[in-house]
Amino acid sequence: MWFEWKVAVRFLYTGKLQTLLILAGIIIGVAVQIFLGSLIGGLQQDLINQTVGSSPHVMLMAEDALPRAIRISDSDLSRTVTFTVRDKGLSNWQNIVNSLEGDQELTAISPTITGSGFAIRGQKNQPIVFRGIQLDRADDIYKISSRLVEGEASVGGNNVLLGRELAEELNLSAGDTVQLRTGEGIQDRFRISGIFNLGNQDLNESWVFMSLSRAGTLLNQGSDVSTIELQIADVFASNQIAERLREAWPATTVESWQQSNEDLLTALQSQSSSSLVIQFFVIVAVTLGISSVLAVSVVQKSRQIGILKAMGTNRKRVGRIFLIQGFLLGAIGAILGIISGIGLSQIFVNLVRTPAGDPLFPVEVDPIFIGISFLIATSAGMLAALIPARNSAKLDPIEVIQNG
Amino acid sequence: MANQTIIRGENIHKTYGDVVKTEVLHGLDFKVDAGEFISIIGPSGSGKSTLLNLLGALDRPTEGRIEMADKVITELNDDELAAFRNNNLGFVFQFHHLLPEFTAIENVFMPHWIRNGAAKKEQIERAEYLLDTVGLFEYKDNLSTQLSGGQKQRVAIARSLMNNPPILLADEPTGNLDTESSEQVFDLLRKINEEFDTIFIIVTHDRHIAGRTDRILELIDGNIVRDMKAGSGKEVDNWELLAPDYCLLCREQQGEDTVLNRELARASQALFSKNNYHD
Repeated sequence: MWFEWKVAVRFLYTGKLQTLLILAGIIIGVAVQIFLGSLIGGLQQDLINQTVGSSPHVMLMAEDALPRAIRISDSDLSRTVTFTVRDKGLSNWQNIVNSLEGDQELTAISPTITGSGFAIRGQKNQPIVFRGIQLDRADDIYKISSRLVEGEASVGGNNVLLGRELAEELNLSAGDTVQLRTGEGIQDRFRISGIFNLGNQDLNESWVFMSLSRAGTLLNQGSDVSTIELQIADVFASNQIAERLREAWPATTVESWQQSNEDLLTALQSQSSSSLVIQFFVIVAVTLGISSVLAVSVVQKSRQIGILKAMGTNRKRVGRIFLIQGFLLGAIGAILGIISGIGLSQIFVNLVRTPAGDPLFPVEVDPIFIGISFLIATSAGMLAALIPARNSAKLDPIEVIQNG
Repeated sequence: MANQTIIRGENIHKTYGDVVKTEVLHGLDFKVDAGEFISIIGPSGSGKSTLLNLLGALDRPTEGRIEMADKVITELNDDELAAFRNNNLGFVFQFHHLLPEFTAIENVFMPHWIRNGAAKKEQIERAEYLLDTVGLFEYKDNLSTQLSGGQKQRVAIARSLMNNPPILLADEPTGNLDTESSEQVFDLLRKINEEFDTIFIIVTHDRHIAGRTDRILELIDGNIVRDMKAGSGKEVDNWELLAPDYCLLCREQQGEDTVLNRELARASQALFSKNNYHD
């Protein structure tokens, strides 16, 4: 192989302009591929992180109370009342939590009581969502303690935690008291022990955390909880896990994030496919480029090929000279293209920012994706060299020798 | 010298074309002994290049058998032929055919590279010695494109000797050179023939060049019409015809000693003795 490499490298080196042009083509192709792939990968990762990062992946709830049809008379056919009050809580939640405790696939288990109501201060009346939690368990999902902007993380007794926007709206700070009222009209005064920022304006405006037991009495739930919120290790296994839980606890309703975000996932999927299509055609263009340059090169070098054959280079080795050229073009182009692609995405991250000056989203540079890109470009180079290599192998040395 | 036979051709036919068949060689028989310095002459279309391609293991005869350097090359496959060329044959062409991408010494290395890969100390010394022999040692690191026509041809000769082949084939080696370079190149071939005992087979139009070789095979219309050996002093008049069974004209002379045939033979001999023979 030494001989074939030597000749291939020399052919590429002496055809500098051609080599540089086709290298530029490959570099641009691979850079676009890497840039596009990283951008879309990063965007999707970011969207998914936002969707599943600080939120439950699977939720276990009491069985839906079905809408009850009220029949006025036998002849009067339908008069359906469609309020679906989840009037029952999970009364056996303690058992469920205990049995889920050892599950390797789950990373967080947080029993929660939810309910709606209002926070009242003076004339102001803000709609809120009550979240009764066990702080250490809820922290596994929402990381409330580490996201406090004021005060301390404590939900014991009448202590509550408020979101930043809600506190601003009502002009409250840690240590103040606030009047909270449930949808059923029960109200009480609570002490604000801390103010959190969950990074989501909706939640910051409406969520109020309190202890599970206090929420139970306030919302008249007794010892039941509304939902058991779960996070899982492999976020894309949520449907399977939901299915498993449904079988284990038939009297519950189980929802996975993949079910509730089907639209988002479909959108991401089609985005991925269109990005793949673009990348595919980039590779096709690159392959055609290498192929045509090498085809021209075979014609240009036919004298040299003829003389090498006359001197005893067999067909296979002559073909190999061109395969090596294809490989080298593909590999060098891929390496430089990968570097440029990563550079491009870094420039993009640094230049394109939100009004606040943060990057729009982190650009994901996935080593596996880069490895695949490298392999594709390199094998495309060799594939492109196949036809020129075959043509060179077919070349008859006699013709070349006699015609100069 | 009772030399051993290195090349033996028996009943060699070569036909070109699939639909319209043209036979270019009509059953040639010949032998070449070690160390012979032969020229093949003949007008265009006489089949001398075809014969050289067959001897160069670049092509196969349609019929017949060629034995070279103890191998029946008509029975080898393509890869074996390539290896045979690499080990046993040196080529010098009318157009030097150096690789322009490589330096003079790299071109000389080429046959070794093809056979064994990178050159080691021994081969580097040999390549330098060969370049020195052709008088181009100081140009060894020049790209071949920087050399003159005669210099390129001398590098090509050095290259053809790199793998120490027993047989060297040259197609119009001086055809593209001026008189002075021609002389230089020819003298070099002669010197190598004597020094390395290499068989030289030179295809040429040039009667003058042919006259300075040891033996002349003349081809006309795909037949060997004369096979002559130089006499003492290598004067053209002293050329003696070799064994008559090789020679078509001789055979005819033997068969029917007619006035016409004698006249024909005399006329062709007279024509041949002139140096400015052109076709």
